[in-house]
Amino acid sequence: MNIVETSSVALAGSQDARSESNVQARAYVSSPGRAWRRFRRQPAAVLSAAFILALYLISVIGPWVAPYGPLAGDLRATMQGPSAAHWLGTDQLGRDILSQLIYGTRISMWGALQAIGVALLLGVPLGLLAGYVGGALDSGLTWGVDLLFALPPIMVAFAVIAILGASLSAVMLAIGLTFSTRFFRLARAVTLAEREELYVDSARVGGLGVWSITAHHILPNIAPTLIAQTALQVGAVVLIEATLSFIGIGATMEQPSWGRMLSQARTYMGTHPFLAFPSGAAITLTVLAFNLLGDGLQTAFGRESVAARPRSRPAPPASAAPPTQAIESPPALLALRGLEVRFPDAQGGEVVILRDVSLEMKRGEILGLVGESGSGKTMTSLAIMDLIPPPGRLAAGSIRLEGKDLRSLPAAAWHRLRGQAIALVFQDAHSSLNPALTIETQLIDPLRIHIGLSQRQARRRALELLTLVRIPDPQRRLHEYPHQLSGGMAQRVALARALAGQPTVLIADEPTSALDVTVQGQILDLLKDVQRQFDMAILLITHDLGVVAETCDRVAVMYAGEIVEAGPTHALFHQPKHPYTQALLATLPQYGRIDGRLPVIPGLVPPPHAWPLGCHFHPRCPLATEACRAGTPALQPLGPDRLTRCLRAQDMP
Amino acid sequence: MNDANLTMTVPIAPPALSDQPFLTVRDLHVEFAAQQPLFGRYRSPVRAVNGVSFSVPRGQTLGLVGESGAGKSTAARAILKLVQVQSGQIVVGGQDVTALPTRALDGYRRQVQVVFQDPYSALNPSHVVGEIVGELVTHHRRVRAGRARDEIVADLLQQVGLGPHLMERLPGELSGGQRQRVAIARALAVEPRLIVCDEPTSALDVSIQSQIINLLEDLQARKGLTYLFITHNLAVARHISHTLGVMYLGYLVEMGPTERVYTQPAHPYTAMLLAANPVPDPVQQRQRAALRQMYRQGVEPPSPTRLPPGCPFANRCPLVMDICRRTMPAPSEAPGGGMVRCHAHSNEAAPSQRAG
Repeated sequence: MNIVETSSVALAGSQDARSESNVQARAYVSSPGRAWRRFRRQPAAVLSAAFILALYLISVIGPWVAPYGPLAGDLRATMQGPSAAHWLGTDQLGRDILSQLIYGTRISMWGALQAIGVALLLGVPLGLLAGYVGGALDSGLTWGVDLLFALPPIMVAFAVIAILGASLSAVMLAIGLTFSTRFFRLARAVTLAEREELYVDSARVGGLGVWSITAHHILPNIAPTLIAQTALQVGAVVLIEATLSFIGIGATMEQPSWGRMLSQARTYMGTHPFLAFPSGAAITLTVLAFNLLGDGLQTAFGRESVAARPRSRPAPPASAAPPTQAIESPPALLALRGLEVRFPDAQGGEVVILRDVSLEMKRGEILGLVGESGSGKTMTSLAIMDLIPPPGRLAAGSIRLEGKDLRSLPAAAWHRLRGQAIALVFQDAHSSLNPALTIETQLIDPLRIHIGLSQRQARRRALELLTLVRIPDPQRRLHEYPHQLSGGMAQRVALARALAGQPTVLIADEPTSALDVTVQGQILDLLKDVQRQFDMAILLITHDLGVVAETCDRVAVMYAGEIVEAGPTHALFHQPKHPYTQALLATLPQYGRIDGRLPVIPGLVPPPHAWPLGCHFHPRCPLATEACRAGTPALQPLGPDRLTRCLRAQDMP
Repeated sequence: MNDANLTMTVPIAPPALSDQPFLTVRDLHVEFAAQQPLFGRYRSPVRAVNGVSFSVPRGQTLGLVGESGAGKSTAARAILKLVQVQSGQIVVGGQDVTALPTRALDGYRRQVQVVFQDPYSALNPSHVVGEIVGELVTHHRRVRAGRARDEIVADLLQQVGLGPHLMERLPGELSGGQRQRVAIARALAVEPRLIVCDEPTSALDVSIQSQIINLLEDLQARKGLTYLFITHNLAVARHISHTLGVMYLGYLVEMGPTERVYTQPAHPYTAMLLAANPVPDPVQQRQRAALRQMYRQGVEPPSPTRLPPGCPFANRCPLVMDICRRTMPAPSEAPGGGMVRCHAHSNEAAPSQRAG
């Protein structure tokens, strides 16, 4: 899920966990060039576009290429099958069918454009306006459109014909009127969603008017959706026009139309079945082509996720640096050794997004994993759970739980450990709970499935768990749904559910980042409490150094896909042994630094494809030397229980 | 402000800068109508901002802090004229703008601009940077797109530390910090006097946060800008604000010179907020965690749709008295300067009345 954490940096650079979810939801609009490249990759859509273009071309040059006039009948040669003179045969009046088909393109293709033009011109501006202005205008327009939508198109056609007289244009106007409701609804719905974006507020504060905001700001962002829908709707109009002509409304006797041809063929169905084929095939193929084109455009213009397009340079064949030396210590509860995660890139190579990650956790300790967005902390937790989003893969390293190598286990056995021996708590508790199920169901299910409790035992245990996470009035809460819980309460429920399997390791990924600070304090206190009660190890992933300072026994700091420093919390905060940690602590506005400028770390966190050779931090490091640029430093021991990935650690104060 | 019982002009150092408030808000109320169900009980509106008053001297920064639902962003949106004001008065640069006619709005927009929290949503994803910044130049300064406007845009980008080569880029191609700089350049395009900064650094990584704060401070010093700075990060607020206001569920519960509010918080909620705000120092932070224990565990703020009578903090307050559950305290002078809305500091409630 959090692939963005690691690869969006290609574009996003850096932002904190709060906004990571936004980035996921908010992919960005394709540029025309990119859309074209994606369109080109779809043969069906390209063929359809060519077919449609050919039809329009034929409709223009028809009079010059058609072998006969549309109405030139030869009564001596009626009802003929295909021949050299009449490739598709003749009808009951001896008219050439191919010529009629060619002339028919004018009515079908241009008529459809006419109708869609009316529909777009009417539906889109009104939809934009209704969606943007809202209020009474929106209600009124929506009522009107709902009413129009409820009328059968044929009735609308009759009404328009009654007013304007029977003509093809009248019919097309009627169809356009009916179809405008679809565009109205589409434009309104998309506008309602876009209106919530801050860029619209920003435009309002900029003093821009309704017209400028809808036309200049919102329309370009909804245009791709509209274009794709237009293609689909043209197909529908072609079909409706054919249907109307078939029943005798629309094209007159003198106008060759595919629908009318089909209608005439019906009369002779019994004796000359072939007569229906040319016009039927023309209608079917045209509608199909428009549908395929619409689908293709939708795919081409669709908002692609940021993660979908990593730009990268080829990954080095293997880690250049010697793997990290572990400090010899009693067997750890959870030990990661040299983890490496790779994602394929667009050029067919792979890009490394996590490199040489080694960690050890002992029973009963809270280990903080800190870093900025894109540093790889979430990817580390996903690797432990075997949840790396495809097409990413764990390319190297080992994960040992109580000495057992999880990677050597069958996948099913590893996955069984999830939710039991290793549990996970996410940042956004609300989205990790199923909104359609009560708290009780969500707590009882894992208890019954993983632990095999009976329904009654499970219910009693669920109540105990809610009490354990200090939810007031747990009996009542059991029967509530997630939306009835505040963020803090939802996180408590998520924690209760994680504890259901009595895990020995709990991974908490930014568990308090979405909460208010006063609630955050309560959740941190709770985490510390349950850690003691269950004698668990907690891996606390956070970007907040204050949370680490309070909660963690030891800390590991990540930067650009690597652990750059690790050590006991107190020592690491008071004497950081990596220039990145040092700079990070210095940039925080805090006590004792009230006035004057804040120290800054120059530059940006490099995205995975742009990691520099040598030490990943060297371009931003004040201590960097030639050696830092040349070789990749290993994470090396420095004093008791401390590790640093810095060649100049000895020179730091 | 002798008549307005709710307005306090807080004495701020250095007084030499200006004594004329540039932005004054008096007794501001903003309500949101609740969606009424077809059947069932009437739902009362959400009172998002409840009698808030403050003023910001020209060239200074008022920080507004508080948790979600405190009403700080709504107050900001009222000043930006993005939401309807129920009652109260907003005065900017000596002009009452509470009920500004539409035709006068453009002039107002030239004085007041905004920088939002989320630079991912605040920039139109289909416009290039040159258009995002240039758009307001065209609208307000009547410079059409072209070389002349490009020069203005390049200058604006340079003021926020970006190169002109970014003009052709889409927001999707920029980093979070670069986007926030573009948003600031856009705000500067109209040469505003007041910039409302709504959590401008909350979505940024810590190493980028300090760059943006420095930039905002430089611009203030250079252009004499007035800031209304909204944040939930107390450390950032302390660094950047001359005056600090603390909001809780629509009320401004405390305001005063930043250092005073920090070092001697008068309102128990301010004290709670300060204790809860994590500091990156293991020793200090563990002391604060202990301090936090005096607040009731598991008690959360009341729902803003069903605010109790009296002080909204009463159910979490360690100093709660009977009177707190009945009436909302009026603003009173806080010890050390500024104002506080707490019965523990008002004259009506004698300390002997304290229960618990």
